[in-house]
Amino acid sequence: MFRLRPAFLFLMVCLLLPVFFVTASAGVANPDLSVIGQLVSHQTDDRASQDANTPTLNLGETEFVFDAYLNPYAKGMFVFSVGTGGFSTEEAYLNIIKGIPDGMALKGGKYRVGFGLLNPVHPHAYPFIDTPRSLAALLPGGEDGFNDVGAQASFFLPSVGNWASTITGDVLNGSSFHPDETKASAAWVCRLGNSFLFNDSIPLEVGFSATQGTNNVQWNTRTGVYGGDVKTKLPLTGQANLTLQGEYLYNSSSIVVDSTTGHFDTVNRSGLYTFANLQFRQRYNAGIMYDQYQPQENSTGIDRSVKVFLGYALMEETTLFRVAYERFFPGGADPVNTVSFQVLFSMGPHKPHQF
Amino acid sequence: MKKIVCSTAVILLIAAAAHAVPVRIAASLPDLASIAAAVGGDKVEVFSIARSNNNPHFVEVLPSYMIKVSHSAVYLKAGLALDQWADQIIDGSRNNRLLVVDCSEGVTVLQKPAGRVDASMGDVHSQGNPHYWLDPSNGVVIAGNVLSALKKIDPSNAGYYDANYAQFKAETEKRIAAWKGKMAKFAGRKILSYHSSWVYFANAFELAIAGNVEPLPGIPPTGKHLAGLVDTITRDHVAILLQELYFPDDGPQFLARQTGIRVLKLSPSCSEVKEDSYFRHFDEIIDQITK
Repeated sequence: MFRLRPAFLFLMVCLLLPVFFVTASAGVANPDLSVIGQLVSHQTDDRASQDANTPTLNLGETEFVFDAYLNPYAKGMFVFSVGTGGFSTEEAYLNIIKGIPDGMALKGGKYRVGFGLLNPVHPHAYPFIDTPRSLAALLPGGEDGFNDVGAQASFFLPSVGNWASTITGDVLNGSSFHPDETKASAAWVCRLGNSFLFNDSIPLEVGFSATQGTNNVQWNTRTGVYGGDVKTKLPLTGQANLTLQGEYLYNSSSIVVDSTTGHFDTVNRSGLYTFANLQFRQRYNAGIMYDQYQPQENSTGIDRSVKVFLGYALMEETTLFRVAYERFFPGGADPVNTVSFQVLFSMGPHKPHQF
Repeated sequence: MKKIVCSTAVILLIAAAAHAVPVRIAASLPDLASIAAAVGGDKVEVFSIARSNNNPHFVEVLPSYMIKVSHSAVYLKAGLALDQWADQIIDGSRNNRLLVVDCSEGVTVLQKPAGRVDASMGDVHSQGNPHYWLDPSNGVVIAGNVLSALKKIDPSNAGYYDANYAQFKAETEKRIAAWKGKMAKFAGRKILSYHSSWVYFANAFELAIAGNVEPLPGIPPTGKHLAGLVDTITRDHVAILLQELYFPDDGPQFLARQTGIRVLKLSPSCSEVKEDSYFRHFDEIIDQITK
């Protein structure tokens, strides 16, 4: 994660917060301010974990979100997070939405990269607690998500009826590919997203994403990740609906095995996740996820996971309770069971629901 | 000379073809779209993002909606912080020429909170109750906002839109008189509603809202609150509960079992976006109440 001096930033936020709490919603001068906190508890029988068979209780990452129009042409977004890793700028970018040709949008700054469906979304907005293991294993950035400094251009493609296609291209700083090296080496991302709307009520999204960057700047070895994704939401009887979503990823990396000669091996790994989430009785959701991937340390083996999850939202995301049970099958090792519990609490203006 | 005549004819044909392309109007709600269809007539093509069975507070932002709005000339917002999701669709449409109209402009807003507003009051609307289209006299206000927008976008058909607006206004006044006649025997009577969607309707037809199934906006009813409503229903002889389609049935069904109150499951929005859909919606609501 990109880190600024924690003490300075903490002081800045403390000085600015009273101004924003006077009016929490955006006015002419003040941005919308939201704060999202979470309490997370895990209990696992994973013998490799220092907390095996001991319930843990932690204050998870707290996010401060500031967003507003900067002027009639652009919007700005800042997301600061405080967690076990300290204070960090998770996102800070501007979106130019007007004053450029119709159908085009520009974005610049630090942001969660638009690869696939889940990575651009903050984890607290997932219907389950933890990021799928396959994404953490195969995308740059690992468990923190694929997040980088970059510039993005996005275009609507010609379409008819209820079909919409968008092509997006990013040039990134690339540090998420080589977090241990400070020397720059740019990366790129490209995504083609296609949205269909059947019967004016059933959305279907199908997308393809690709990215390439340098995983070792000294020896200029590359990582490429390629993926496909699909999502639909089926209306059921009453207020219930069923979301079906999945992503497949293929990671091809040239990994330096001899740092004195630069000799490298090419390691190809793939993985996928898929889940079904039933939203019912307005406030409840329940679902199941299957996750599998080839881990870096053993690219011929396959790790698998099955997870069930349940959630209750008192008043949208202002107070949200989630519980999940995961049975993880690391290739060649004993299965691991983990029970997790999360309470999300947030203050600030309503955010619209993204599909 | 022949060349000049031919060129002029071609230019006139192209201009006529351009004018024949209808003005595309997107609306947050089917009621706004229906009124736009009435004012715009055959010069407009309208569609609504939310459908009648959607909770208008929480409509999902789909890329397909952004594309549809990207091809539109006008966007009709409900405003009063009801359709905040519309801003994301409007921004995502990347449409530099889109004229955004707040249809609540000119409406006398009810239930505007005084003093500090915060989440302890539930999911309260800080700018006042936004379900204003359910007073048919506000339909005329909405139509006036639509008319201004159409005359700005398509000034060459201003006269046509003026005539349609006048016709809509006259028809609305005629129907209000008829609806009030039908509802006269209910004047002064108390009703319940699930959510505070029916305040403007009650105000228009001289009904009194005795309470809501939600103790606070967005908060599910507790047993204690429902017990209190049973007392209210019995004491005030409340005969009708208006329940929006997208809320759970538990609370209303409990009240019906305990008190015999008639639960009417109705959408606060019309189900189609035709020119007369807005009127037919009131016909359906009033027919259900007066049955």
